[in-house]
Amino acid sequence: MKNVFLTLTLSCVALPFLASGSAFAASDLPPPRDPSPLAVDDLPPPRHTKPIAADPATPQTSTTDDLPPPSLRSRRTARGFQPVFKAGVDDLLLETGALPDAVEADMYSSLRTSAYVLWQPSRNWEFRAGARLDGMAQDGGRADHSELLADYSDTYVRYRIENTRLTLGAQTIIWGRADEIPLADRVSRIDLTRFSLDDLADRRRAQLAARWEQSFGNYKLDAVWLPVFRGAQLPDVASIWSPVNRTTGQIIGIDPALTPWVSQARIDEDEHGSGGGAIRLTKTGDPFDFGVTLARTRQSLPYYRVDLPTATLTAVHPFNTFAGADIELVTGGLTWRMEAGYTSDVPVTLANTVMDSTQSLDWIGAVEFFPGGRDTRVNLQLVAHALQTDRNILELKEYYGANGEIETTFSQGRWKAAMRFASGFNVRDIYLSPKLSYTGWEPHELYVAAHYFDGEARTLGGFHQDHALITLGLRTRF
Amino acid sequence: MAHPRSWLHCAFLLLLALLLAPPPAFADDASTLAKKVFDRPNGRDFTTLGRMVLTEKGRAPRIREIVSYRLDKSGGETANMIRFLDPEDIAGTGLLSIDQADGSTDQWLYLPALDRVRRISGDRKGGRFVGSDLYFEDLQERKPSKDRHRILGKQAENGILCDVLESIPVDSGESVYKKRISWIDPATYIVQRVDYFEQDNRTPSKRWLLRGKKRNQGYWTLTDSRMIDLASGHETRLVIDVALYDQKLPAKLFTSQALADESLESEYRP
Repeated sequence: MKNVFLTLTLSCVALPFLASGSAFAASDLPPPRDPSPLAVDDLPPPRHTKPIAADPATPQTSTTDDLPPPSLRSRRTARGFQPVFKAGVDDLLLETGALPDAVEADMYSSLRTSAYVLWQPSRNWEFRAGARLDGMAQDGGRADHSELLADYSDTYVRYRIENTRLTLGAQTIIWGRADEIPLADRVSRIDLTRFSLDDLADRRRAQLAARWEQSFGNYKLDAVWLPVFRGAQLPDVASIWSPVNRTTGQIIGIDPALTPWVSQARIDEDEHGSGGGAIRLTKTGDPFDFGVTLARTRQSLPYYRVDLPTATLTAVHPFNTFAGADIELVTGGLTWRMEAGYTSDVPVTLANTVMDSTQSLDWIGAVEFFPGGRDTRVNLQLVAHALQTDRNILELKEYYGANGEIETTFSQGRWKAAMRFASGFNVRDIYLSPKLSYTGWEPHELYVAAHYFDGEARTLGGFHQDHALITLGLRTRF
Repeated sequence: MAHPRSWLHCAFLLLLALLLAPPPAFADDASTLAKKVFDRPNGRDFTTLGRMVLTEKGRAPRIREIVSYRLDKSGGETANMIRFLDPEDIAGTGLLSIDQADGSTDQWLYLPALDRVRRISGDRKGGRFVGSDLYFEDLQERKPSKDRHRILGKQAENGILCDVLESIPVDSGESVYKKRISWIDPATYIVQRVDYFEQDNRTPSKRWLLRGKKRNQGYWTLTDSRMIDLASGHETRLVIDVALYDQKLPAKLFTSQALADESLESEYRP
C-alpha cells in the first residue's frame, strides 16, 4: 500500500508536465531560422508558355476567411489542340579518338548530325521530315579512309483518331525490353557504322514501314509491315568497324583461320524485295507489363554467304520467323525484365562453306536497381543463345554471357560516370567502356570515353580486339 | 460491490497507463494537424506549367520547364504525370506515377530516344530527380499514417506564427529521412518550411521554404518554393507559372499511351 501511494505521488508530480504538450516540447523546438533575404526574382520568363496571371496574389499572412469566393471569370482552361510547327537539330555528335593498337589507323573521328521539321496542322494529322549526315575519317595506318554519307531519318505521315495511330513512311521502331540487344527488336534497321560504340537508340536507323498502333485499355496492338527491305547501314569495308576486315582477313563470327582469302574477296549485297511484317501485343499496368511478338521478317544485319570458287561474299538477309514473349515487373526496388524467343531459318555455314539454316532459342534476363535508392543505376543482363543443330558449323553453337551498364551522377547532376560492359561465360569475349561526361552545360554533353575489346576467335570482342579506342566527344541537340 | 483494494489497484493501473503511454490528446492533435495538411483542398485534378531552377554559387542556373498533371482517382489512388519541355536534351521525357491506396507506387519512364516506356522502381526514394535537390521521395505523396507525429510548439516562419510538427517514419527503412520538422500555418494548413534530417536527428541536411502562394479557382497554389542543400548551398527552386484545377482530366491521360505520345497529352496543357 505504501508503494502505491508513493507511485501516486510521483504521478501527481508528473501530470501537470504532461498536460501541456507545448511545455513538454518547447525545448525540442529548433532555433529560429536566420531570416536572410531570399534572392530577388531574377528568373527569365518561361520559354514555352507565357505565365498567365492567376487570381490576384494573396499575401502570405492571409487566411481563408478573408479570401473572396472562387470566381468563375478567373477560371482558366487547358489550351486544347494547337497546331505545331517545330524544326531543329535533334542530334549532333563530334568525336575524335586514338586507336593505340590498330594496324589500320591511329586516329578515328566521327561526325553525326540530323535535322528535322515537324508539322501537326490538326489533331489528326502529323507530318515529319528528317535528314542525317554521317561522316568518319581514320588515318595514320594501313587503311586510311574517310567518307560522308547522307540519308533520311524519320520522315512520315501520321494519322491519329481516338485510340488508333497509323504511320506511313520512314520510321525507327525499336521493340523489346532489354537494353542492349532486345530479342523482340525485329523490325528496326541496324546501324553498324560505329559498331557498338553508341547506345541502342543510336544504333538504329529509320526505314520505310507502314505501322498500325491500336490501344484498348491497358493493351496495345502494334502491327508493322516493311514494304521495301533495306539492310543494315554498314561501314565502308575499309572502316575498322566493318564486319569484314580486309586488312587482317577476317569475317565477324567466323574463325579467322578459315578466311585468309577474305582480303581479296568480292563483296556483294542482296537486298531485293520486301522486309516482311510483324505484330506485337503489349499490356502495361498492374501487376506487370508483358508483350508477345510474332514476326516474319528479314533481319537487317547481314549474313555473309561464302562462295569459295569465285571468292565472293554475299550479304544475304533471309526471312525468318520469330515468336517471343517478354515481361517487366518491379519487386522490392528491383526492376526485372525478361525476353525469350524462338527463331527459325537462322543462317549458318557448314564446315564445307555451304550455307545452311537452323533454329535458335534465345533468352535475356535483366535486373535494374539503384543501390541504396540513390543516384547510381545498375543494369545487369544475362543472355543465352543456342543454335539448335548437331551439324558441324563455323559459328559458335551456344553463347552465354552478361552485359549491362553501371552509371552514376554527381555534383548535382553536372557529371556522369558510366561503365558499359559485356562478357561471355562459355567463351572469352570482353567489352568494357568507361565514360565520364560533363552535362552541366545543358543541353550539351562533353565526354571522354574508352572502348576495350578482347576475346577468342568468332566472338565480337575477339574480332575487334585490336580496335581499342579512346575518345573525346561533344554531343548536343538544339 | 467492489473491494476497495481492487478499486485502488484499478486507479493505479490507469495512472500507470497514463504515465507510460504518449499523451493521447497531444498525439491526436499532431496526427490531426498532419491529416489536415494532407487533406488540404487541392482539387480533383491539378495541372501545372512550371520551372525547376537548379542553382549553384558561381555557376549559371540550369532551368527545366515541366508540365505536370495530377488526378485523384476513386479508392484513394492518385495518378501523376510529369513531362519535360526544356532543355532539349531531356525534352519529351515523361514520368507516370500511380500512387496506390496501399501506399505503393507504380512508375513508368518514357524515353523519347528509344520511343519506349520503361517500368521503373518507385522505391528509388533517395535518388535525385533530374539532378536537383529534390529526391524522388519528396515528389511522392506521403500519407500521414506513415509517420509518428508530435507538435513541438509554435514558432514564426514567413511572418506567420506556425505550429511546428515533428514527423518520424514509423518504419525507418521506408524513408531516406530520419525525421522531418514542418512549420504549418494553422489558418490554412499550408506548410511554410520543412527541415529534413538524413544523417542524424539534430542537424537538418535539407530545407524546403515556401516563397510564394496564390489563390487559383479557390485553391491555394504554392507558386514558388525552394529546396536548399544546407551542406553545399545548392538550391532547387520550383516556380509554378500556371496552375489549373478541376479540368476534368480524363483517366486516359494517365496511361502508357499518353505517356508515349506527347501529342495526346499536350492538349491538356495550360
